Formats: sequence, C-alpha cells, structure tokens
Amino acid sequence: MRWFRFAVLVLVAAILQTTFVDMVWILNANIKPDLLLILLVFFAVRCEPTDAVIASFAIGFAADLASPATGFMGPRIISFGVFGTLLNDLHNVISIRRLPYQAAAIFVMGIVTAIASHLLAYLRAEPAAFSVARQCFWQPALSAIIGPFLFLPLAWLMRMDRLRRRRHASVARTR
Amino acid sequence: MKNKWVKTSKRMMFLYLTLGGLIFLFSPAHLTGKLQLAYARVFSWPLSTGRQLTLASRTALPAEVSSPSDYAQAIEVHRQLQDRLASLETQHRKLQNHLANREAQLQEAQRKIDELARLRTVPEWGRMRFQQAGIISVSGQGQSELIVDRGQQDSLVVGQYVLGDLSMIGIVSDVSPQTARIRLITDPTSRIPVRLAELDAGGVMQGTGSGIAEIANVDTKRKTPRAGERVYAVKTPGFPGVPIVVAEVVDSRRDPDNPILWTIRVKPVCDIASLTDVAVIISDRP
Repeated sequence: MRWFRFAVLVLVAAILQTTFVDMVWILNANIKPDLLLILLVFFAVRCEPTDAVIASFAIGFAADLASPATGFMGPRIISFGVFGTLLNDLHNVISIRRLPYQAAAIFVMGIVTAIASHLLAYLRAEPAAFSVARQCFWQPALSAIIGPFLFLPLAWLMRMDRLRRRRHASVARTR
Repeated sequence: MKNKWVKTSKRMMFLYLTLGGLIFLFSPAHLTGKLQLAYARVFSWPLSTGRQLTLASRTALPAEVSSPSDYAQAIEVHRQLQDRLASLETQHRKLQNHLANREAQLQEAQRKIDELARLRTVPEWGRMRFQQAGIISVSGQGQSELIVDRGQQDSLVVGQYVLGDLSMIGIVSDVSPQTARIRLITDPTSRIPVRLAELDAGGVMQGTGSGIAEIANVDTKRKTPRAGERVYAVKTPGFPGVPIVVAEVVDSRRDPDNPILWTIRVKPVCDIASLTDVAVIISDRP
C-alpha cells in the first residue's frame, strides 16, 4: 500500500467533495456523488485486510473533517471504519470485480453508512437533519453510477490492479 | 505463525481505531470543531477557489469549441448579460431585504411612538460594528453551516449574529483564531425567537435542514398565514434593537390537536448558496 499516495488522494477527494462536486448535482443541489464513499469501497475491496481497516477509518476521518454531517466528529469515522472492514471481509468470500457488483457495493455501503452515521449522531446529541430519500437513495445511487468508472484510474494511480498482476503471474508461471 | 500474527494484528488495529472513533464521537464538540476549523484554515485557498469556481459555473454557459466568430460573439454577449442579470438580481434581493428591514424599523418606530408617546428613536444599526467575512466552505447536513475566514483575531465570538444580503442568516457557533463556523437558521439545532409582522404573532423558529425552518405553535389570532410573508428576528441579548428580516413564509398548516395554533414553514430570504461573504454583527455593548 502506498500510503503517501493514499493520503494525497483522500485529501484531494475531501477538498473536491466540498467544492467541485457541487457542480455535479442532479435534480437537487444536495444530491451529489460522495467521492469518499467511492474511495471507501475501492480500498475495502482492493487492499489487504489490515490496510483496508486503516484506510476505511482514515477515509471516515477525512469525511468527518471535510464535510461534517453534525457539529462534531466520530459518526463517519466509526461507520466508514466498521462497514469498510466488513466489506473487506465479505470480499474474501464474494468477489466484487464486475462493474454491476461494484456499483451495488457502493450503493449498499452508501445506505448503511448513512444510517449508521445518523444513529451514532443520535447517540451523541440531537439528531441532525436526515433526508431518507436523499441520503439513503439518491446520493448512494449517484455514487454507484459514477464509482465503478473511477475504479480504473484509481487502480492505476495506486498501482492496485490485482487482476493484471495475477494475469502476469500466471503467464510467468506457464513460461 | 505469520498468518496468525497478521490476523491478530488486523483485529487489534480494528479495535484501536474503533476506540479512537468513539473517543472522537464523545469528545467535546469545541475540541473536534478546532480540528475541522484547522483543516478549513490550512486548505482555505483550494476550498475558497473551488467554491468561487463552483459559483461561477452556475451562472456561466458551457464553452463552445470551434464555432463561427459571430456565434462566439453572441455567446459572449449572452454571457455578459447573464452576469449582469445575476448581479442585478443580487442587488434587487439586497434592496428588497433592505426595504423590508426599513419597513420593520418604521413599524417599530411607530409602535414606540404610539406606546411611549415620544418621537425619539435611535437607529441601532449605527451603534453596531460589522465584520465582513468571506465564506470558505459550506458544510453540514443539508448545507446548514458555513465556515468563514474571520475568527477570534477579528473580534468574532460565539453567539454573534450574522447577516447575508442584509438579512439575518445565522449565528457564530464556533471560532478559532482565524476562522469561524456559522450555524445557519436552517440548521436543526438553531432556535431563534421571531415575529411575523403582518400577523402580529411570535414564536421560535427552528431549522429542519434542507434549507427550511419551522415556527411551531403560532397563535395567528384567526388570521391565515400567507406565503411570502416576512419573518423578523426579535430582540435577544447581543441583537440590535431593531427587528431584522430573517425568512419568508413558504406554507403553513394547522396543529391537528389545537386548531387555533399553526405550524409555519419558512425559508431564508437570502440565497445562501450564492453568497460569497457575510457580515458579522459585533456589538460594542457588553
């Protein structure tokens, strides 16, 4: 895992999330793709288990830091960390390689992390505004449409193209 | 042996990081808020530049490539006209709010004349000092918080009222030396005493997120609230002595348990999404 590249990538995504992503809204200015959610799913399915745990919590930290859903930090650190780790464990059982599966993973992760963040915020203080349609459908759906297409450049950037590496290894073995 | 170590390490890492997340979750908001403000300060340049570009993109036309020169000129003229229109719309909105504030001040003055039988009214705005602050970013669920580029060093303190386009848009909720967070009136934790001038009724306005706030249990004295009616923030400690326009009525419904009372939904009179700077009211009075 290239941690420096990871840090830069997460930082850039966090800044883009609060600035340029505002230009990509559909139907409503509040419905826009969640770049950090896409990164979460990418690293959860591509990293080694320990790296995936660290990456998930780090992305949650960036999400809470850059665009806090509430006046405090923590809900998304925990929800991203826990569900990122679960997705990584699940990926060891069910392979999430095809585009529709990746989109479905992003969609489901968007829903569960939104609900978990809201419940955690509810534990801490008064609940923040929660739009079920926006946070549990539109935002994950938009992220799921865009996300799989970002996986390829992300894999190239992070040098994490497992499929290609495996193919090279098998070719080398046959030789 | 190696696999066992890796498995344990992953589990322990997960536990440590979850514990860290819980510590963050239950830490006082002003401590974690400092981290968020520090992030906004460190990356203020890309954040503010990105926001300006986003605002510009909302008004600009998509660029045409390899079009005839007259067509390009027409597009350029159209773009300039659009910019001009956007500028005029902003000025118009400001003037409308200014007019609403003046009307409210006039009504307040007349009430004083009637009740106290004296002519002396002091325009409180003159006593107040304003601090202009540029918006670095919009955050929060439903875009209900702003982070601005002024802080303690510029005399900002928690609880000060904030104006946008001459209407009240929120309250300073957190400050660091160089930045501050503004909780907008649409934030679910925002509660502001308000008055509906035309209905002569009052209540507490609470944000609901998504750009809307509600005033519950309003006794309208058998009048029906009308859409577009102005809502004014009323006197509280640290607030100027005159009402300031804060929102306008969107719609209303009767309380099913008590039909005399109404729940009124309102929205800010200022287009917060297009704001680039705000004015913080800095009271000279203790």
